[in-house]
Amino acid sequence: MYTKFLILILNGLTQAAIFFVLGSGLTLAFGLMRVMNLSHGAFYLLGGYIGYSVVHATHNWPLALVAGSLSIALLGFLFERTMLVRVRGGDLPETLLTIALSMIIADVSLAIWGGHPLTLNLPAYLNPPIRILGITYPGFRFILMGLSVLIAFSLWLILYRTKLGASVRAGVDDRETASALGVNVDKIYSFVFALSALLVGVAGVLGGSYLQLSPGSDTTILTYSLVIIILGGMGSLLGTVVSSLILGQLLSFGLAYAPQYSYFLIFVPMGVVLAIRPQGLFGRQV
Amino acid sequence: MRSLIKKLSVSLAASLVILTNVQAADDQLKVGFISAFTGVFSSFGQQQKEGAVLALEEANYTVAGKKVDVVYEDDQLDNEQAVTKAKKLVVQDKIDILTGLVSGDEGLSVGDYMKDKNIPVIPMYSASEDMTMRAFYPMIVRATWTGAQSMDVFGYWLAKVKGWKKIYAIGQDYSYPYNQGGGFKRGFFRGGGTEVTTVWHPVGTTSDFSSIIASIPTDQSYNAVLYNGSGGDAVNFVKQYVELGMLKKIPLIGQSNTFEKPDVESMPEDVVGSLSPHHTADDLATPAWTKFKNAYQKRWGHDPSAASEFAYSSMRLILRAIEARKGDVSDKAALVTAMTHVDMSDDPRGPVSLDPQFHSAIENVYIREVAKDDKGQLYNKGLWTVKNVGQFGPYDPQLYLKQPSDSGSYPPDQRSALPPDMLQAGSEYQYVPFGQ
Repeated sequence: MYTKFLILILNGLTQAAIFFVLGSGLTLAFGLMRVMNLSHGAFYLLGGYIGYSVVHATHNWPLALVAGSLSIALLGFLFERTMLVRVRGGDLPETLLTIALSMIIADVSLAIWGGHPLTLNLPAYLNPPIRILGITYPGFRFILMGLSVLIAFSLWLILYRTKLGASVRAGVDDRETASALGVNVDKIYSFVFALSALLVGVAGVLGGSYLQLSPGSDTTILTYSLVIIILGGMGSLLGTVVSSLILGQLLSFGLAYAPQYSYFLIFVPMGVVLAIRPQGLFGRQV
Repeated sequence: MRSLIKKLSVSLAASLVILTNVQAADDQLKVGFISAFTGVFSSFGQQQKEGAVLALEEANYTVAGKKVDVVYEDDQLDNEQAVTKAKKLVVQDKIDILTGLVSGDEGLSVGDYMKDKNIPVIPMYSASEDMTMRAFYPMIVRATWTGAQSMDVFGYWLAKVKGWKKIYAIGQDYSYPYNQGGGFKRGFFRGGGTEVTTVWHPVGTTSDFSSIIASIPTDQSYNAVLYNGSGGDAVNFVKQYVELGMLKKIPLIGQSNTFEKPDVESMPEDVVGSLSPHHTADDLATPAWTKFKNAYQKRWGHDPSAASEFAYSSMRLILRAIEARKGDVSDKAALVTAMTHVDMSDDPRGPVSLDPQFHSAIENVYIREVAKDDKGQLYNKGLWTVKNVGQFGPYDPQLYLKQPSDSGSYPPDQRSALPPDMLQAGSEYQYVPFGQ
């Protein structure tokens, strides 16, 4: 009984780790740019697929992580610079543009990588069975949690301890004033969007390693990402941490005790929050 | 401006007339093909298409002097989409025959829509038994399988021959696994098994199964865990089952699709030895299978699976029936009759015949285990063959049809809760060593 609980909690933490990496980028981009990037799920899928090809060709997993995340960051940067910038401020065109991009990515991925589920093969040194407190647990999941904490800490450092971060926060609070005070909002936008893409690229490689990638993962992942940031409050890093932890445990225990309703369960906290606190747990009144 | 619009609309109308003329051309017939080419079962949809295309290419897309035009529609495994696509194929493309259909729910909803359309429906991989049982109508011809067909054979064998008593089953929550699980329970209980504890999870949205796996009681003498799911979910489940060290505690068995190619190729080697039943086995050595396998590998660069064989076989059935009708597809009832009379004794997976009443397949069932070939790739190796298994298995059809449809809660988990007359069968299966 006790070991089962322990495994469930660890599973929840693993889920939370992936959820945080997924949600943090999206929430930053939204908080600053007010752009709901609906190609977030497609970015995840593509990042994972690129990582898969790299692992397949070189058998070097760390290289795959770098390649997958950097190529998505580049894609995000170019997309923001060449397309998103043209429709800035228009909610509908922005949304449509990101949906269009997600469909293009999904179809191109299907053409390149096919419809079969793919998994990035982990080298044994990254996934040793770890014996802890009487149970055996896959080592990669601990790496996942560690990476997620590391990312959270780095984001916090960037946002709260650098000038760049101060500009980003100023942009989130009041774009016009920040711009008037000499902050180059355009550059900040590109930076944040590319950072958000980088993070989801990381999530794609991580997710593709412990789960699997297939056409359709993109929409599932997008749904999860939206639930995470709506619950946590859009634009709030702390909110994303808290909502990832809540949803991770909910999904883990839901799967154990009511697997039939596990998918439905993750929408419950979102529904409650939307009803009584529409801006999310840590969101600001918009 | 106005004249321009006028011109445009005139030419548009003209082109429409031309288009409809083309569609009504006498030397052409149209086959609609609905499947899930994207989504969690996309690998099955893709295999299906490859099998069908192979059969069409072998016939050079021509039958009885007519050109065969296939219109493919992707429903993304969404039942509403599937019905919308069926509507489009019927109304706009004016198809003569509808085929494809990869998943259980998809088949049931499209089948229901097609009920009054007087167009033959040839499900390829969709296996919910009700399509050729409780929801059957004469335009349906399913020369492939039902979910329960292979699983009854499998469950009975596990209980009777291996002496297993208790199984923990985890399945995807929709009609095809219900039907596979239903067949399994009936066979298992009839063979002497006492309990099949059943847990369901949503399809395609559960990516981390480790919590479900952690909840499997390891101290209650379960003989095996049955993963009653397929596609991407199966790959995930199996991987995590191995990673969490469960495979060392309780053996894993699968339903027909769990270890199917190509999914099994992405699974860890530890699953070698895992059992599952199907109507194909990768190491069949009959001339018909070898010929099909070679042609398929040559065309597509990888091995065929059951989904591709079923599609190949169904498409050949369609072509042969049209051939027998000398290209006349106007009389749909006659076309269906021709289909039920097509000789399928040379089918790659083994001889197939059709039940004249419900238009369902009578064929071999193979019990297989996952094995590793000399290139290190995993495949399904045949162990036992049961010949001439129909959709009612060994049961009396009247008795079988009186039972409720298989669902998440029927058949019951306990042998004692099953109607006693379902524990008796008219005739028993003969398990022949594979290859004899």
